[in-house]
Amino acid sequence: MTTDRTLAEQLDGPHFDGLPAGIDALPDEQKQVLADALRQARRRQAAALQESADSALSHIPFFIRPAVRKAVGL
Amino acid sequence: MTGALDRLAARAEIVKLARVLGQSEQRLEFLRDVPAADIRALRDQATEALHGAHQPVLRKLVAASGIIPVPVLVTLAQKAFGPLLSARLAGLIDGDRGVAIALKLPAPFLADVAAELDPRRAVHILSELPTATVTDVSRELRRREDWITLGRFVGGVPPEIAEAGLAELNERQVLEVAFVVDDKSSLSTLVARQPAEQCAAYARAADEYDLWHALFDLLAHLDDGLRERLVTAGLDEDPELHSRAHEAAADLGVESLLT
Repeated sequence: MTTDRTLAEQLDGPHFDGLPAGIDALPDEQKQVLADALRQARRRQAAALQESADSALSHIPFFIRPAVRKAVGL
Repeated sequence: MTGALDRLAARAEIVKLARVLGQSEQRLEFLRDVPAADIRALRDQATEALHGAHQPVLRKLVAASGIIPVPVLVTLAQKAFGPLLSARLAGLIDGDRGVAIALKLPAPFLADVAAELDPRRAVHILSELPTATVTDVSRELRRREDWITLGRFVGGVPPEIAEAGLAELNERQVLEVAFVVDDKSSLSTLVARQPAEQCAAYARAADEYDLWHALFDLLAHLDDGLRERLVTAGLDEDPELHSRAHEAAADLGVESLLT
């Protein structure tokens, strides 16, 4: 069973240097609200991007599709 | 009064964070006592996380787009990519190519893209757009009452672009946008150019549209002389408006802004 990542874990990256103090001081259940919201935003974004990318190829002229597929790595 | 102004600032930050996370402001109401700067920092971190995701795929798409003619990309943007993917790609695509594509896209679609865009990542395109394009998109955002997107572009783009975007706002709309602007220092320039009768209109707009919080937040970020001019021109000639303004200021704990 996987556990949903915390807010800090979701934000972790090259430029992340910890939660802002006022956010870190929030009760766990409120930080969880923020974590859930961010997770939902990421999932909505991923779904939208996937759908867009899938649909794109059908709009590209036949003669350049092979080159585009190669460039994208399909 | 500092605490009262902090709460106003936190309220504005909650509005903006809610947009980034796709949540209602009410859902994030528990942040009202968190310092505004911390809510802003969280918003920046969330924006970085969302914009930084999927970079390898996005860069491949940008690379692939280099061999696709601009007219085809214009069609792709509208029929396949959609506003979200177009906004992400705008941050990575070459400036000249981005401008060429933007010039062929209709204002409503550009407004959709603007709502998904972090302008700091597309300055190379935004700064080269003609004023007419910026004005058309601004007009569309105004029609949609998308104050957050309009506010995002103030301070995030060169001043002449921001001014083109704000030029046609009425007083109520200026208050709405000013409340959610990140860089409040730019607002002084906007207000300073207004004639005295325009200043009076701000107070009337605040009264009519229940935007006292936005007016007081604006006043808090003006220099003393400009604040006095806005207060004097806006309130001194109408005793009833003056009274309602002081009542609203007392409710929000910011009475000293009107003295």
